[in-house]
Amino acid sequence: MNLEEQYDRIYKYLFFHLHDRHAAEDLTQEAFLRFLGSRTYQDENRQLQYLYTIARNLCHQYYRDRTITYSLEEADAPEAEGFEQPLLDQLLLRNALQKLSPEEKELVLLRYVNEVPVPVISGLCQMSRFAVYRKLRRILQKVRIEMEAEQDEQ
Amino acid sequence: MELTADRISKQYKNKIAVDRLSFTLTEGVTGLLGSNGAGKTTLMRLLCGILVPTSGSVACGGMDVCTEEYRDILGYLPQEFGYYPEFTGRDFLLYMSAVKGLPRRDALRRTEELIELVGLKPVARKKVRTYSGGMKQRLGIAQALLNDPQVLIMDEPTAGLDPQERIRFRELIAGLGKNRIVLLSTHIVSDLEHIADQLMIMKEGRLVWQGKWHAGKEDLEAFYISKIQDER
Amino acid sequence: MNSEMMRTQIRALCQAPRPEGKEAFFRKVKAQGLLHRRPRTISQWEFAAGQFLYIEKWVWALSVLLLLLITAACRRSPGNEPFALTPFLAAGILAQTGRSFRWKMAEMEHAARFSLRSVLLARLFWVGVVNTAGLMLVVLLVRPCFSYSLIRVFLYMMVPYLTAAWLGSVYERKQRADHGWGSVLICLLSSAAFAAAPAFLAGLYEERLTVLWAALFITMAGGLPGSIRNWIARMEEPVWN
Repeated sequence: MNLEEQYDRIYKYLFFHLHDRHAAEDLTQEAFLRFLGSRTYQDENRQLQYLYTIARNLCHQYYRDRTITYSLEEADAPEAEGFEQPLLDQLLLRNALQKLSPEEKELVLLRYVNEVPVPVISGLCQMSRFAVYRKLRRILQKVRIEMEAEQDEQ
Repeated sequence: MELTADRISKQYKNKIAVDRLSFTLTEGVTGLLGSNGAGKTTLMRLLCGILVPTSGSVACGGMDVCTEEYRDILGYLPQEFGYYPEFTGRDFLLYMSAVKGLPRRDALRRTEELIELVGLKPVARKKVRTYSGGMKQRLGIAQALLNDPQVLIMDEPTAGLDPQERIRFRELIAGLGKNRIVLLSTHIVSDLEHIADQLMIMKEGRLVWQGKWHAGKEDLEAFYISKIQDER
Repeated sequence: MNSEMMRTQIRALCQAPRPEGKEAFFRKVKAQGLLHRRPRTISQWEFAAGQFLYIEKWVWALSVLLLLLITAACRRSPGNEPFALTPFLAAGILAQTGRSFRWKMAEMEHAARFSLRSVLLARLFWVGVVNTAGLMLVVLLVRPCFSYSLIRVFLYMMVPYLTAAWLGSVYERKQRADHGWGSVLICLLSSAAFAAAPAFLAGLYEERLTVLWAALFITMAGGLPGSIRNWIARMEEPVWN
């Protein structure tokens, strides 16, 4: 496993959950220290799943400690930073993504943004691989319908 | 690392064994005192993820206690334990190493180290059923330490040990407690006198007292009895 | 927009700023030697393979003995009676389920990384695989002695065996603390039931009822994993007291 590459991914994952560069980076480092300090799995996917589990737990804890109710609602909203003037298509896409449920956003973030392998997502979210595939297919479909509807409105 | 219990309860059909306990364990040795039937064993099982609480939650460093990752850093000595009848002391430790996920080479190395540490070297290749009570208990202690746990939970670890073994055990625990969370339960007060940094006193499923314990300031026995009686 | 394009678009859309402390962090971690010091753990498969050695010898002895007995019985009198012997094969499997509890190892195994459920699943897997493979071999061996087709011999052998395993797993789920005697009883009863069945259902072993046997086989073979899964799920909350 390329740790430096995973660092970027975990950071990205946390950034979209926390919307705070510093907090995201702090938690990324914390997650890596914990990961490095623990016994590893031989299986790469299991390692990755463990890394994401730690990151997600830290994220929960972060919200709990600040007594903010944790909500994935906030996740996956690409805000101003690093986001260039969008094309119409991208704007539509962005609006459509915002309308997804928290669980759906998490799946999009894991699978499409971070390119986490499906078996890892299945372990992390505790559903079968089949269910992950099915949900992802449905999400894309939903997004597409939403985008078309919006386009018609305009 | 911290082990945090958040309002945990365990209810059996007609009895509340653990009644809404909240506490945080930090690095160092914590002693859990209480008479038989006070709920110590139930509490320890809850902290090990063996029992699921009726309500509330236990987590350690962000990991729930029912996860594989938590079990990886956990060492547990149950109050009562057995062994498969064909096992020698060494087999027993190698078997537990496998269940704890240690690769063969580490398992062999740790097994030898721990056999030495608990002083079972001369009988390591003898069947466990030929062991005395104290030897078996030392084997249980060794088993808990195989995976170099960050969280060590021991239920009545001194049961069956003779006075000399008790002293050795105390030295061992004092060393281990420096950079780990160690929780020991006992109903023998003197076992904790010089090694516990923290104390929890349990009675009828509730914590009647918890806090820092400074050895030598007060007589623990008298203190314990006063706390237990206060509650009446 | 097709799915592929959409995925690319989503990725392009969700850009995070560059992590600033990355280089410093990895330099620090490397300097502390944390990168390559991680102890390894064995994989699920290595663990399962290791458990093979911890299955009691008598379980294997029982399996071999029973398989030989069934073969011999089929050769000597290729009637329907030998089929009633297969439920006893399930006894070896069912004995695995209570073993940790019987020897008071369950609590320690439960608190270890691979946990009690992995221990049990690995053992069930091994005994189940070996027994089933053995039985298949016997079916192939004794098939020439019978006038039945291969598929019918297979069904007549497997159904009683699976019935006992399935009933036993249901029973074990409900009653964990009885040291496995209940399971032995279930094997006995299943065996007796299959031995006595032809007396009540005259045409049971006739060709026209093969469909019934196949249906039974599918039900049992399909129900068994579910039953074991339920049973393992309840492992999380064992009845300790």
